[in-house]
Amino acid sequence: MIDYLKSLNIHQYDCELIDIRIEEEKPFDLSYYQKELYNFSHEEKKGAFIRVYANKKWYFSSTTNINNIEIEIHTLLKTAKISLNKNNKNIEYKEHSFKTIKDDFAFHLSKEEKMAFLQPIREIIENDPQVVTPYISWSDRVNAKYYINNKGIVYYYDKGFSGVLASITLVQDKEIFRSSFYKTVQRKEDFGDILQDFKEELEEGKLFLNAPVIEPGQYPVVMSPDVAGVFAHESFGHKSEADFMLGDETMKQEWEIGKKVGSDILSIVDCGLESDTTGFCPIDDEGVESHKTYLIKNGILTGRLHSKETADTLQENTTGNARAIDFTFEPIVRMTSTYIEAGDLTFDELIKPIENGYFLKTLIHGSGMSTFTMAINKAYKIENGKIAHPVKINMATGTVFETLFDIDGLSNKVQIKSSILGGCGKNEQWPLPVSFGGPYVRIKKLNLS
Amino acid sequence: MIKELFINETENLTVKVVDGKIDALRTQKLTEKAVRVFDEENKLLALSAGIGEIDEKELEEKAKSLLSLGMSYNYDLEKDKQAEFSKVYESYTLESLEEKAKTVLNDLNQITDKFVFNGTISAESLKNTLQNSLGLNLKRHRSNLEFGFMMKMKGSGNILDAFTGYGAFKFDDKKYAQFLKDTDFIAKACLSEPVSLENKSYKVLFQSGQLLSKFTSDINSCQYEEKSSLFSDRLNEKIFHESVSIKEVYDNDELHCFMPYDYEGIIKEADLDLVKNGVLKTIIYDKKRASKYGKQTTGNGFRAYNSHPGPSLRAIDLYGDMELSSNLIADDIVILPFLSSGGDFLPNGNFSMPTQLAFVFKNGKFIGKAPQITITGNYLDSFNKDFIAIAKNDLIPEVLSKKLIYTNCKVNL
Repeated sequence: MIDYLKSLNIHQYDCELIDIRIEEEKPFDLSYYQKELYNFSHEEKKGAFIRVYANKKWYFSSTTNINNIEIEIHTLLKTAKISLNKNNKNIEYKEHSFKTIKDDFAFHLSKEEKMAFLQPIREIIENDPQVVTPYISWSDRVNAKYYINNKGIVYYYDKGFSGVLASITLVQDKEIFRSSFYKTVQRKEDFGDILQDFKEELEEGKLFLNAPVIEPGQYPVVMSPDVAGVFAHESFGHKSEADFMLGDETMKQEWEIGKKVGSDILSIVDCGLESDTTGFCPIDDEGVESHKTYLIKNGILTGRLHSKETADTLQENTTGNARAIDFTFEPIVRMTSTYIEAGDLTFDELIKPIENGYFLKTLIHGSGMSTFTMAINKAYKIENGKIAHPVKINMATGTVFETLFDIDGLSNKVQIKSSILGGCGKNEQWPLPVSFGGPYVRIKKLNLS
Repeated sequence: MIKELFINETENLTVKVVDGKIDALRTQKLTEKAVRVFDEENKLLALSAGIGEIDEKELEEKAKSLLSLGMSYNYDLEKDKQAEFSKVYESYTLESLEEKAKTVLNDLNQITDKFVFNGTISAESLKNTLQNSLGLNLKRHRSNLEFGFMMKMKGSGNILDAFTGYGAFKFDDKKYAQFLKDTDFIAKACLSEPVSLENKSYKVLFQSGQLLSKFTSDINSCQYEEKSSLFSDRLNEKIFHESVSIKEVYDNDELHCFMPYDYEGIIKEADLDLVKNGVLKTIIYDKKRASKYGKQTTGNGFRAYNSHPGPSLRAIDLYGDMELSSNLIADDIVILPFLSSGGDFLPNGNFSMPTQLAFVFKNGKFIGKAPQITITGNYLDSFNKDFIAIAKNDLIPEVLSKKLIYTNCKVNL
């Protein structure tokens, strides 16, 4: 495929920028719903996205006809009023390759092996009298990207992840509790003792059926690494995407690098180099290599995420964060793997000073604008420095900049969560695979309802 | 062996707008194709799907090879039915869409220079084909014109402060004039001073979708029949205030809906009453769920190209006698949540709606924006004891939903 892209000689057009990204996807989905095989789908998708930049305007085209790329380029060049004539220039390519898929990855298992893997979990979820509408699935997301631009950058990279999801709806009398159990891995053994983990999840869910609803108000909270990761992504990550600053000169002063934006112990990082996470993006969809970018370091605004265009406009360095969800869209500024760095406390030390607060363990979804919001799934009351009992909390919300200053404790280990189901949404593009995480995080006060 | 073919052909032209200026022109052409095969003798089915120039025969052979997985069906397929439905009023080229975009941007930039507009202007053509070897042959073709803009106030640290948009099957001068009028109101309201509110109950005008999203899952047969719906066993009982009537529409220009058949081949001839005068009238079924629970399909079997149908609603509409919202709010303080993100419902119907931007009216006049608030309540209460009325939206009718739900709710600062 790379040879084919090179053979198009796009560097010989007299055009400011041309690039081509070919993506191959092999999504696999197997699911059981209400005790029956519900869906079995194994596709092979392939398409190309072509970009031309000329006369201060972009021209994009996406096509599934890979053999037609040259015609698509010509159409874009004509629209941009650029000559189709080629010169005889040679080019020396800088090639990058990040092949991460290995022979022992779980997606290589046969459909029979995947069905057999789900069977013991099915037996539990489908035979529990308190579970209604049991749903369980195995999914694979396997992607390969081939890229070339007329500046001499060529790359290939691939990644493959598999995930198991079980949706649990528990009913007892008129009480209903819903939760999801999921794990995303590269190798089968990475699932660990998934059956035991699932049993624990199911039994824990039953404790929430009759859990009391909290009184809305402001409370001290401790967030789990999962919740802290979504908090980092939603509360600050989206604000670090530099495209939202375009067109507003005042933003550069408002978001000046070096400004104090959080408590001294807070550092937030975005890094696409973690190959065992779904946020893995070693080189972005414009051919820029990823690196570890501190968004906040010790409470100070340290960096932001860029495409080439935003970096150029704001006169800052590129970060390798121009990403598209697939071959039908252009890259825009997106996160990769975003996390809060660790502190030095244990979990017990974190909750010890809290007399009346809550531990936010899992969530359903989050979003972030001027305020951030997280729909909480499982939470526990903290009383006198100890975990007391399950509670029902609908929503945790806060004002971003107040909350970042209210972080006053971090545990000593980071956990990063990957997921191939769902992802991050921005503008027209959803879902983009990302990952997020952090340590356990204590916040002085958060609005709970 | 019965063969079913499902095809979506989409052609999308988009003008991308950054900072109120045309930044990019994009063309997307996508064909999604799926073949399902049904083994009548053993009542087994299987699916194979793909994107692009895929050979149908190849998909069929792959689907046949998957019959051994044992996925069963237990209903009759539609047969001997041919129809074509079209709602194509206009078509665009990239050049003509760019010209349209220039007009829109010029109009928006005349309304205000205090905001940065980022977004898209898109013209789309979607052709759907549903055929089977029993003589079913249904085709639907519709075109769309949509604008969507995030409005970021200059100097604001927010990612977005407001939004505006237009969605229709065609460009309509009257709708477009209202879109501009709405945008003008939104910009001015967003720039207004915050009004002081208290932690207490207020009258709130919700957009229909804000409160009805949980309702749509509660009338889904998967939840209703398995007792995980708030309305399980309550069909034909009064669930809402008697002034509440809700129907599913299938062909409605105002609501931008055109789905004359479902993806199992059931052709719609009338809208579907879901709630009439407060009484729950319909639970929605596809063929599989209807057969499983001993009911009739309601023609609500919908699917993505690469999956099997499941029960799902088209657009829903509140109907019946209703007043204009401007008349209803004439004598009190009323809050209209505009930009609410991240809210959700608990299974018991409790909801929490963090609201970044809401508009406050007093004695029928706009008096300013609300501070950031979280609106909490229970959606059953919102349609019963806290319910005031259903209103026709004449405040921001083009950008927000056409109908508003007027109810008392707790506001939390």
